[in-house]
Amino acid sequence: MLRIECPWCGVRNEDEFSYGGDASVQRPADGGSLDEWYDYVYTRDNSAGQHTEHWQHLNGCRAWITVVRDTITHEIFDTAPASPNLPPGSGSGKKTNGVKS
Amino acid sequence: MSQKFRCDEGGAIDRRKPLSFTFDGKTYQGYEGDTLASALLANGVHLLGRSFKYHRPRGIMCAGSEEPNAMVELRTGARKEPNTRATTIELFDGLVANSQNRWPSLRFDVMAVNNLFSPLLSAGFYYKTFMWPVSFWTNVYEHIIRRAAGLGTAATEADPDFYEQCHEHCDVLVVGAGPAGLMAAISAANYGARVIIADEHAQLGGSLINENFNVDGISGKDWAARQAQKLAGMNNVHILNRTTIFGYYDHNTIGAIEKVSDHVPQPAAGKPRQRMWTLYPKRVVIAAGATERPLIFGNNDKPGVMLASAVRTYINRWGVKPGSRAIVATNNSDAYRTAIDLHQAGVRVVAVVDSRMHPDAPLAAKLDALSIELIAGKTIGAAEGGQHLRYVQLVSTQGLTADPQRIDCDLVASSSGWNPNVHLHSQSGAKPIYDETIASFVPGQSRQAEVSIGAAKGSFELQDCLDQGRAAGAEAAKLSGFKGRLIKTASASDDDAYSIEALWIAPTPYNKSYKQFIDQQNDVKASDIDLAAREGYDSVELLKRYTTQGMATDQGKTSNVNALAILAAQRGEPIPEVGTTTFRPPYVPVAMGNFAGHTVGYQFMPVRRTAIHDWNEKQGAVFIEAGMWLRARYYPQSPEDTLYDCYVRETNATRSNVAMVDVSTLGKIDIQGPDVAEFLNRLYINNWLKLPIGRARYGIMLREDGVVFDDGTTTRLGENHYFMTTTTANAAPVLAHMEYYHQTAWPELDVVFCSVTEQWTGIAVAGPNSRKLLENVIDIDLSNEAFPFMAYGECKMNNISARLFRISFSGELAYEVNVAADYGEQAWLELLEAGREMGVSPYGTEALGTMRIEKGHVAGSELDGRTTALDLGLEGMANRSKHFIGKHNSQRPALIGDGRLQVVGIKSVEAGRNLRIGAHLVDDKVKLESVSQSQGHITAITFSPSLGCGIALGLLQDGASRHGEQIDAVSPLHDEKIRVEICHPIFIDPKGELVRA
Amino acid sequence: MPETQANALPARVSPLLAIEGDAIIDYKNLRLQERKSLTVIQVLAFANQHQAVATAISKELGIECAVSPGICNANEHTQVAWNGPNSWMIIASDEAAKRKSGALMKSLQKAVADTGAVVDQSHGRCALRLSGIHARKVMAKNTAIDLHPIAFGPGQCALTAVAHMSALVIQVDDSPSYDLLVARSLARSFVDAIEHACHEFA
Repeated sequence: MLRIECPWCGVRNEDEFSYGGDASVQRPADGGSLDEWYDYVYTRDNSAGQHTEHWQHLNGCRAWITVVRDTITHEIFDTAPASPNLPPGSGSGKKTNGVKS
Repeated sequence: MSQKFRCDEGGAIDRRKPLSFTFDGKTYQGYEGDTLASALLANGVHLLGRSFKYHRPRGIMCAGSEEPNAMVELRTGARKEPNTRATTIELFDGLVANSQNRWPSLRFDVMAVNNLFSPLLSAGFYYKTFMWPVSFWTNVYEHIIRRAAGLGTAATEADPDFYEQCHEHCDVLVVGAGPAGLMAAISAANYGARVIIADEHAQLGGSLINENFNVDGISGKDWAARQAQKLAGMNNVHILNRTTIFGYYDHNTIGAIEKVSDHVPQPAAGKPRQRMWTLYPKRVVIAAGATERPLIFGNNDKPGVMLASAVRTYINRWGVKPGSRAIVATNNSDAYRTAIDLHQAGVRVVAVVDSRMHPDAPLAAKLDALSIELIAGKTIGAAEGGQHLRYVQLVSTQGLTADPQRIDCDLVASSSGWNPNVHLHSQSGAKPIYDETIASFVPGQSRQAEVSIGAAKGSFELQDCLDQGRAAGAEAAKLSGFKGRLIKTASASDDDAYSIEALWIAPTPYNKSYKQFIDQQNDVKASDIDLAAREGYDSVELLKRYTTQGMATDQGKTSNVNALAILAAQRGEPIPEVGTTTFRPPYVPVAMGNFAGHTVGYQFMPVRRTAIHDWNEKQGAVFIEAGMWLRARYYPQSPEDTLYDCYVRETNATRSNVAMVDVSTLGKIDIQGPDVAEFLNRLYINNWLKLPIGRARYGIMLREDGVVFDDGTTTRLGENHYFMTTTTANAAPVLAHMEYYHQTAWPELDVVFCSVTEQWTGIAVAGPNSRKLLENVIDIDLSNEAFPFMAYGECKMNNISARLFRISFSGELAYEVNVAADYGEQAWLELLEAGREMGVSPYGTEALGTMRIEKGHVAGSELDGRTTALDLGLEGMANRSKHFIGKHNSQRPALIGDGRLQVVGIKSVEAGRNLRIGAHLVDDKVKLESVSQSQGHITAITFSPSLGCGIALGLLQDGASRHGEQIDAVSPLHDEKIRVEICHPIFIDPKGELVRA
Repeated sequence: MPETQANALPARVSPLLAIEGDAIIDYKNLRLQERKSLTVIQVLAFANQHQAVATAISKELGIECAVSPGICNANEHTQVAWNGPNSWMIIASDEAAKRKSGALMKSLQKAVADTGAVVDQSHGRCALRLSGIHARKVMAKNTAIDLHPIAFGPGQCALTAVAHMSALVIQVDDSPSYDLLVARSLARSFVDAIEHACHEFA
């Protein structure tokens, strides 16, 4: 089982995430040719080694993240928010003040 | 008391607590702390089972989970557990065990005739012999073979116990609580690290209990008990005893099985039988010890032939003498301890037979002091006896051809050296390497955050184990970010140096042919390995599969290295060149129940219930699973009511009067922000920029490949506030799809959205009298002018705030009421009350489905992941001058060319014959048997109460242009062929006048 | 349409209505109870308004609305839990706060105004409180996250899977007590799983 670090929630089990495919492919512009659109959906490198991919923290904060993973060893080199517009996370939370019960 | 092989004293057993148990119907006595194996041996019972293939008598070879032979059926009835190792079963009072794989009895087993035919049963025998004719394999051979070569039988009743799963994080996990593990755990804990220490046994100590050691001036057993006590008193240490670490997975995730209740007749209230732990340690210290190898000689599987270390364990841990006249046979220094321990326990040691010409002098002197004969340069060539060992034949290891020397004995303690337990290291992705000095594999370069220490690393001397534990525990704590001081050293008294000269297989007496077993559980012999190699199966992985070497439930713990060495000899190559097999989890067999945990029976899968569920249940509704939801399918009014009766009645009620259905399961998404309209415009194929506030619109979403993904309505609630509905099945995928595009493709769009499916109860009120009904409870003007088709409004239903939508799935005048879910049942009851006088009734998903087929609304069976908007007749909605998901790929030639399967309506032209879902649509010239020329298929069927006949929707090649054509609907499975007519998919009210009425 | 005393709302019906009594589990050292009739409001910030929304919530409620993940600050009747990179969940007992039903929704909408979305989830979530000295062990059977005091304490929250269902976990105190928010439709299955895990401590 992979342990994936959500940039906001910290390291979580793979089963909290769902896989979203190759993150390195660029979505063509509306005017792109049919070939470009075909490649975007269907053409993949299937690389052995470093692979940049999307995962969604589905059973957690629901954010989409970009994961750089080794497809042979499963080593994860980096994880980052997929969206440039979401406020950054600071890893797992540090408490500020307590809850009165 | 008949335990005549029990020593007078000693052992980690409680002699004040005698336990009674039965084996094969006979009652015996043992003590608390015994295993089934030790208690049987104490009673002189050595014959425990018959072997897998040859049905040879087998006894107890080992003292732990590496045991290949001594497997029994434990318990009876629903709790019966086959293939359980007697060596790992903790004895309890009333334990019942039976031998297995024998008929009619263990002593007289008919299938032992296989032993005589053994020349026929060599490696690959099944593959070679039973290949022809093919049909004989399933009809004849398999049944016979399965019966002859069997293990135990499983219980036929459901398991009455439960299993559970548990998670725990720690800084340092220590695997094994022998001398190295105990030191490592204390050392790491002393630094303040969170430590988990796991051990297979109830008692911590490992070899300190099995052996006759001294540490820090006290017995090893007592020293271990003190350390265990120390650990138990540390609040940063979690001791997991009776727990086997069975798997080392990616990213330092560890699987463990805790045998919570296996040592008691049945689990205490609320306790599971076993618990599966998933552990998340930062660092792992593997102190899993080593497993001894047996010497390979003729008939080495005779009951009475045991591992030298197992013999010591029976003496030291359980106070049991495994025989009366013993021979110790070895190729290394370690087994000398066995002779000494046997001697001290009062067992006559006839000789120590050391295959080496020059045994270590200090050890020879120790034997001499006890007057035990040492025979050097010889080894056992063969063992003889019937159902128990009677004598051995010694042969020279130096190539001398003198007559074999016969020695009478009833116990052989044999050792061919030690294999470090590199299993977890290998599972972690690392590659063990061959170490010539100990003639075995040791851990190689670590790939994950693990380190092996002590015997698991190939260090067999006690002092080294203690020292390595101390250092490794501290190092693991430091690497986890802790600072502290090293604990003081522990000093061992026993410190014989380990030495070995490999002897992989013994010469046989007079070079005669004997069965020399390597893998005793799968009955793989040395000759099978030779044969496999000669036939070309000479790589380790092929050998394993061809001979089944190492593939039994013991995973070849005692046999794999022996097999590899024999293969290497056959190939004439050094062992490292031949390689080693990769170890895979689990290290020990794990009951399947552990992987399910509590998710069995009523907890098999979480169930989603709507707010109206209880009312539906009280009405006697029949439910159907829709994803995780339970939905009311139909409402029987009497016990005789069939599904057909109900949906026809419910459909008629809707079409002629008014009826209500719970539609809470539809996905609902609240969308807000300045850019919502543009966002929707890109999600859906149709236009969204000009939807007025207070209006709903139907939309179609495609996938990026151009195939239709989902449909539903979206309503504009306010300036920047929209409310989307999805199909029940796609509620979660649509939300994830929207999040994906918003976060990866269009982050510039300023929108936010979240699921509100759970917040709202949805009730559709449909039928010509639906307006009349609602006017009784709703406080807004529902006239066609004020509230037309696709209108939306906020209103009050009596006192409950509601959202009202004029949308229709049935094709009738209809409304959908949404109320906050805690008021869902109340709202449902108020609507029923409001319609009581006009005779309102509920309808279920079956009537819902009937009405959607009558209206030609496509749903899941048409949105099958292959159909495009064009196929479904919805292309007219698309605005191709704007951008939307799937726009470009939906124009690929194959998706717009001729021959596409397009949605059609289908009517039976044979009166009284019902259509069948899944039936293929074929030309009438095609034979019933051949559907290879299928032109399409039926996707949904119903009896249409409105039309009074069976109707269907289907997908047919170029179907949109074939209305009026007749074709055959065939189902070869049912030997059925029906003539049908293709028609427009909308069967009733094609102009949609009713919904606008 | 504003509510008046004359047309009072009917009583709210909890998804766990079938379970009688206040506490679902009431052992000596372990208690599981439903927190009924809470107001639960999800707030989502529009682009670049994250800090503005947090400030607005803090000001409106008098509770610091944390911008860092995994934090839940609270006063005696209201919790403000981090609920994702641009989202918070506000959980309040209107009764304890002596607030009219719906008042919090309105005041938050006013405070957040056009910087974000304020979405009522009061009926969409079932809130449970698991407390007692065995509570952590019960949680360990159902969730993979680390709830050891070193890693997780009062005032922290996590979005994770509990018993295979998505949940918001908030630690309330170090007895320990955990608040668990799950989807309303799954409430009974969720309680089944937690109850089952409690049995060994009966």
